[in-house]
Amino acid sequence: MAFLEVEGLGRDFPGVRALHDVDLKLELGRVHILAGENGAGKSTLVKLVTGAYAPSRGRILIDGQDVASNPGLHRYVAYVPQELNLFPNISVAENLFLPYDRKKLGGLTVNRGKLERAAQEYLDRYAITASPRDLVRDVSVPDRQLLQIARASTNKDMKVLFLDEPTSSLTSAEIERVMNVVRGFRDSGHAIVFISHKIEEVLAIGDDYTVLRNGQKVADGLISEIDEQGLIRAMSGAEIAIDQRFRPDPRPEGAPEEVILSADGLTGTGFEDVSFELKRGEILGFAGLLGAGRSELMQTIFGYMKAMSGSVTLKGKPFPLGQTSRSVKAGLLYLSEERKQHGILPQLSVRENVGISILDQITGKLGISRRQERNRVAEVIKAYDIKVAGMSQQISNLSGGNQQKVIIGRSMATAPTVLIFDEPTKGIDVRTKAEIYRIMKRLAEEGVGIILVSSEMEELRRCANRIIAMYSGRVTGTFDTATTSNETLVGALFGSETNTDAA
Amino acid sequence: MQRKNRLGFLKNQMMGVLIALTVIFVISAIVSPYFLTSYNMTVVARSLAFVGLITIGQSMLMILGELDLSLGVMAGLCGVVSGILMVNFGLNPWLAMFLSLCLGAALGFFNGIMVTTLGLHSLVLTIGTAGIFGGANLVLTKGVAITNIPKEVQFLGRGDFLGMPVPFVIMIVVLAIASWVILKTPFGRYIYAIGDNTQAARMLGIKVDRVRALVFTAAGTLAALAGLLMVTRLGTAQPSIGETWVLPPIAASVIGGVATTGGIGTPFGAILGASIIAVIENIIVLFGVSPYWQGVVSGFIVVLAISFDSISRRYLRGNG
Amino acid sequence: MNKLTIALVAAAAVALPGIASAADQPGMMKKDSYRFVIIPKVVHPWFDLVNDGAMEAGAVIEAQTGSKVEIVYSAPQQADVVQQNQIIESSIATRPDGIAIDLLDASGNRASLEDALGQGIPVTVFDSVPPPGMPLTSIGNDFCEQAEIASERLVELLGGEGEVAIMMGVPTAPNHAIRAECHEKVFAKYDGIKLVATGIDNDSIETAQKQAAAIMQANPGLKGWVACDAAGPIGIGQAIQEAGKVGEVLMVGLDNLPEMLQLIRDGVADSSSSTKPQMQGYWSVMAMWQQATGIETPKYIDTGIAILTKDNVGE
Repeated sequence: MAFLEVEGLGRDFPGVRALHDVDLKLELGRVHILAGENGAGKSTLVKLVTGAYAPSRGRILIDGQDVASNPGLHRYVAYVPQELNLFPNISVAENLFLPYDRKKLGGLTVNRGKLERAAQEYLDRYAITASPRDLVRDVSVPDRQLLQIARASTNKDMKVLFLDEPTSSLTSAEIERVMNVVRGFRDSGHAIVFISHKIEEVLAIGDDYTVLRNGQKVADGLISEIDEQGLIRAMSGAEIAIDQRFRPDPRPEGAPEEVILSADGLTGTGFEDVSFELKRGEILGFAGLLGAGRSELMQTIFGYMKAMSGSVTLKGKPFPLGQTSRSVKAGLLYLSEERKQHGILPQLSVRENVGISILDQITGKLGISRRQERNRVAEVIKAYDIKVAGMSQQISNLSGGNQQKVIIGRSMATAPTVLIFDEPTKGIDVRTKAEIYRIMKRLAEEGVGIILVSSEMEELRRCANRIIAMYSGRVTGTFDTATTSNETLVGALFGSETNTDAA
Repeated sequence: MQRKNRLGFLKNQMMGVLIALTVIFVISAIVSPYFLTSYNMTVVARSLAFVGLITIGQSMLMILGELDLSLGVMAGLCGVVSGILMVNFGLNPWLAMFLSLCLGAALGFFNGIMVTTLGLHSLVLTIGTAGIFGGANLVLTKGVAITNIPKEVQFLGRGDFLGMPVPFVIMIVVLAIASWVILKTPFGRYIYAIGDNTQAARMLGIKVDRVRALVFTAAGTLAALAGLLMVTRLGTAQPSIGETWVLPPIAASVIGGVATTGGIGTPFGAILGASIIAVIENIIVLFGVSPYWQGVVSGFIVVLAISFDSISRRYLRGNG
Repeated sequence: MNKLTIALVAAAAVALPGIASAADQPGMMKKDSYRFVIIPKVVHPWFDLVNDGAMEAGAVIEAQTGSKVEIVYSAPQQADVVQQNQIIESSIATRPDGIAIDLLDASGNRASLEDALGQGIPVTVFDSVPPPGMPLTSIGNDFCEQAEIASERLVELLGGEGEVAIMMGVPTAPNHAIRAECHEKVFAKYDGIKLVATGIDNDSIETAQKQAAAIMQANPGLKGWVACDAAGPIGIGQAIQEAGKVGEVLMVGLDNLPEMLQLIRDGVADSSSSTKPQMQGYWSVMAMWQQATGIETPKYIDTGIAILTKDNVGE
């Protein structure tokens, strides 16, 4: 008997049918995979089941009762969103129990000692290393992710737990911690709904699955009866070769080797003495664990963070660091992993988000030409297959994948010389991923220098010609992707000082 | 996907303010037979002009995500300095006015530089600089007004141009320029980008600090202009000029759809907001509302105007 | 047409305007209703007393003539010339039969007053001095005399010996400035009297209290206080009470706000040299009414000074 049952559920937004006629059955003690591309309706479904939205059609039964007649039933459902939404400036313990109405910790004053002892129980259970007194902003990303799950589980009534991409910003060892927590919940008789774009993960942890596409249920069944290809086909409605390689073709024999960007002895916050060369026509991968200093290195080269020592040359000429405006002018662009924080202008339209990068091309004597801007933006939307209702749509209403394509598209409109992609496919579905890989490959072959920072070894293997491994702020090796085994690479990530192979 | 974009949102917002202004205007005309007389219209236009100039500067700062609480006292200080230069030093009045405009620019620039280089929050910083500028004003004047401002510049404050008060015409010209800059130039787009997401703006290679310092400078210059015009209006440089110009421009901007968090709104919307406030102030006197009730009545109408806007928006958009 | 008729018509032509102009004679016009605007410096209890007097005058005119009289009281929320000018201008737009105003700053108000006269609206000034060169009727008392009465009384109480202090009002307000000047002149006459401090209270009780407390801290030998506006003595009185110096530090107050009267009853202040706000309001309306009927009014109406002591303030 299913604990939570959804029948013929649908939800409309003005002009858009976000979800239509969806059925879902969740049973206690099982992990249910909810799969679908960006914008397939997963988030809408979650928001309906957790009570954040009211359905336009259909009904939701929890423990056999209709939630429409008993909204209190929503208390059985907990939801951990993809975006970290903890309070950074208050302690771990307070984050766990705010607003203190659970476990009788409230009352007139907050009893700090009692609060912290209660918090410690949860931290131990989920193997979180942070102390209850630590401020959340000082806690590591994987701990924060687990903390969000722990917070959801302080709800004693919780029977169903929705996890939206809980692993998207974690490395493999950290992912294993989350998986253990998920298994713990399953074994203690909870129903888990697991949303992830990482197919291996999904196949490993799931019991049942439901696939959404364009707001409708297109497939469901047992995980044991479906394979990787089948799942991807269901999600995308097309065949996608997941092992397809996107490495740029090697430089033709005899063509001169050209260095586009090189760093020499670069030291800054989070990394030390880094030297490397980026050659024309290649994709250069940067591998490492979270906190290895890769993002900091790239942001320093871009001029967003301050360098302490070392130098950078761009196309053979010394390149002064420290100003993003100079980097952008020189065609050196950085696409941040933090799309929301560093990438989009959330309240502005798609048109303005693209236009901001090409203002010098569309400004005449009388100011910005609205017509030229519209034309150029339309070109970008077409070229990068960005799915928008119109170019005046607010960008924060686009799916993550489409936001990423807007950011790539606007960068490309400036004819860059070097593009640094920092985790470009975080939280992005399989098909869009492949599109982004294809764009990177094309650019590299056109002569744009491409750097790819990624935590997914598979991604690096598929796209990069060479991989530089970093551990704790230092380069631990440079490898030719085609000739290096996974073991050697993983070893370098964990700090075993492997010598640079003959790349 | 919901169909709410910034432009449509802005249009709705602007519509709300326009409707509110129209309603207040019509009610005023019905309630008081004096409201629509040409003399009264010039009175309203003139009072709008001075606060309006500050509002334009303040709204641009707010779109940028900043706030300058010292603009009012800056206006007073610059007005007083122009008076001292004209009267006590016998400088050519036009030169004196030019110099105090420069002073306004310098004071605004000072605020901007302090905000960018020290990374101070502009709200906190300008509370401090407001104290400094206001204090300097008292030191210079000992609280006594500087009288005998030369007649030749008094038309700036008192004169008419095409049947409209000169300060109002100046404010309209400034508004047109500000609107063009903010809507049609890259610099204007940078202001929105920085106000919306400073980190992303820096990532885009926008010279964030430079834009900030420039907008502060522009706001300071406009404050000085308002102060100067008031001096020519009164014919004396009053140390108290600008004391009441601190909160109304911020309120006007918010009424006119400028978000306190930055990235949203236009100077034109802010001026619509300022118009609502100016009409309310006027009608309260025309209608003879008891002075003890004036605060209550004007506050109530402002709250009504704002909620009118948000209610109409919710209704237009449906909830979701 | 004979000569007689021509003569008669001619005579009529000459006479008719004469007859018509009989109603135009000063004082002969009568309107069914009058509306007078009173504009004080700021919302302040002293001006409520002015308004009381104005209402009384309105009632008197109604009772005596049968014409309706409306008194509109329009006060700036802050003592700010810009705001006061806005109120003057908005009031002009309502076409009243007269405006009576307590000027915040004669030169700063000038442009707006000229506007009013230009629109044919009579202006009367009370409790302040009209801008130089503007022929306006002003109603008030001799501010210098008022101050002299207070400071002379203080000197008398001190027996001509001791340290004294003046609390100035709003430095830009001419009547406050005149009072401060006249206090100084009186003190300068006596060799035993030493003026040790001058505070500024901006017509605010709270500011006066802070300033007075600080001045008494800095001058432990201080023996007496005078003030230049209605708020000043009340703040000084509070400061004296808080410092526990009642009887040790003397004060002669100004004006007749209820708190001032209480300070006299409590023995904190010896007496108060008071303007007569009700009378100023009364005669402002009377002057505006007379002007509205076309009669020229005097340049200056002196309402006199009242000296309030424990004996005449009542309970």
